[in-house]
Amino acid sequence: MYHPVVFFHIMNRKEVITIEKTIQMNSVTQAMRARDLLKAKGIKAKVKRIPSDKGPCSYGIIISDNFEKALEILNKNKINYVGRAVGKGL
Amino acid sequence: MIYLDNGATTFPKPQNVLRACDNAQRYYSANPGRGGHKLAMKASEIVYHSRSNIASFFGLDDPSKVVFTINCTTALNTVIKGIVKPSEHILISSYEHNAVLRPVEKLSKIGISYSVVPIYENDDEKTLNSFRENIRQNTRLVVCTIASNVFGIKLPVERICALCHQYGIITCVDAAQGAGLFDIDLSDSSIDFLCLAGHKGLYGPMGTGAMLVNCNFLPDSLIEGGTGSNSSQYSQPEIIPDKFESGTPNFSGIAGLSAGVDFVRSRGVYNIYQKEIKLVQRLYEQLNDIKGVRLYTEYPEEGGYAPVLSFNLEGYNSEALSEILSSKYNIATRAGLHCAPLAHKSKGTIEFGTVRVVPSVFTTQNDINRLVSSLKNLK
Repeated sequence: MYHPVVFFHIMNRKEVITIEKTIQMNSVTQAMRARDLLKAKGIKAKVKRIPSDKGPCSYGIIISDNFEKALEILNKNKINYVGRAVGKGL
Repeated sequence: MIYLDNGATTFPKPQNVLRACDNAQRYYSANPGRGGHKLAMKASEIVYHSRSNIASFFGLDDPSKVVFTINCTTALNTVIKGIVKPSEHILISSYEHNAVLRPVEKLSKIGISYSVVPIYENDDEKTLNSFRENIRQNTRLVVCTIASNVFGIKLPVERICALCHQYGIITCVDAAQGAGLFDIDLSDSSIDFLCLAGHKGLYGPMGTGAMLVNCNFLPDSLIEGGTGSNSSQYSQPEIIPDKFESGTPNFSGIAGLSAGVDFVRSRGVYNIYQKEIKLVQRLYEQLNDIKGVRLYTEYPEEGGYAPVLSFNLEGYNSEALSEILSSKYNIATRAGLHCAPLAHKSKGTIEFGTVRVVPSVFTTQNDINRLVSSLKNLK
């Protein structure tokens, strides 16, 4: 498993700056599994198709709050994530 | 029509299954796991929900361990051909379907040997000994069905798998005739791979099946191709379910299969089984009273048999009898060898086959009575 690299996705919507963090997952199935697990633990997560440093065709979960806790939960439940994603094009 | 060919596929399908297929096809039919647009993501959610639903139904804690296939045969081929290597050995039971027999026979051409293990009706200890005696040092895999698709005889699969685990043998169960009828809980099981047909006792549409992975060992992939993930990588992804799900899936079928599982859950696995086995028991009693009817099993006691009954009527070829039942009485049965020559060989019916009757949850006692009176007319 790679170490996760958090990246900040700055999205300008209606002049409000939102900072989101993304964890790149191995597949859409794993992304949805991670989302459901985090949701059950009270952490909001959204599945999205994202570009990555390994090229296109990746899925990730976007998390607004409790990012470190989210990673901890995934590690504890042995849900593998790729970790690194690039913000370009998001 | 009185439909008693539910061993081939259940008919009719429940209303919620039809609705789920229609909705998926009509409103959400983008390619799941491929794009990132809203409709593709909705389709992905539907597939994921189906995966989760089936996982929980069979006691798996991880939805990714549910690999969708187009039928049970594909799931069995994936396990059999993906695990065993030349010079290794496979055990199969004497009630296996051609979905198991033909793959192992093909592998025998490349130096993989197999043994057909005799099954003893209503004698689990003898059956277990039979497996024990056939284990070799190079036995890598055991494949056995939950129940004969011809005679309904149930195999002690959990005990067979536990025995094989003691010898380090990988276990695979063909649940084509058992899923939806018997409680299967993989959370506390020695079954490594469970192969399912979606369109029989789970009441999903045809073109659906699944391979459930209950171990850390993965077979080689049977086919390779696009998975919608890690596309820059030339080699097939090693993660499940992607490793085994190349190509566009049967999206509406998967949605329907999940609805079928909901249907079974709502009726209750045991309730369905009890209803069907009672119909088969009553049929057995009625057929036993008709002179010239030949039955091939002992009385199908609850728990020892799947609701499947085979018979012949003196003076009729099985195919001819099934044809008459269809054309003259509008009753659908299945004649011949049922893709299971080993089972017919075991019971001495390989030359002429049998007529098979399999009820579903929608079959009534009146349907069975109509079959019996038709057979009486033919005598």
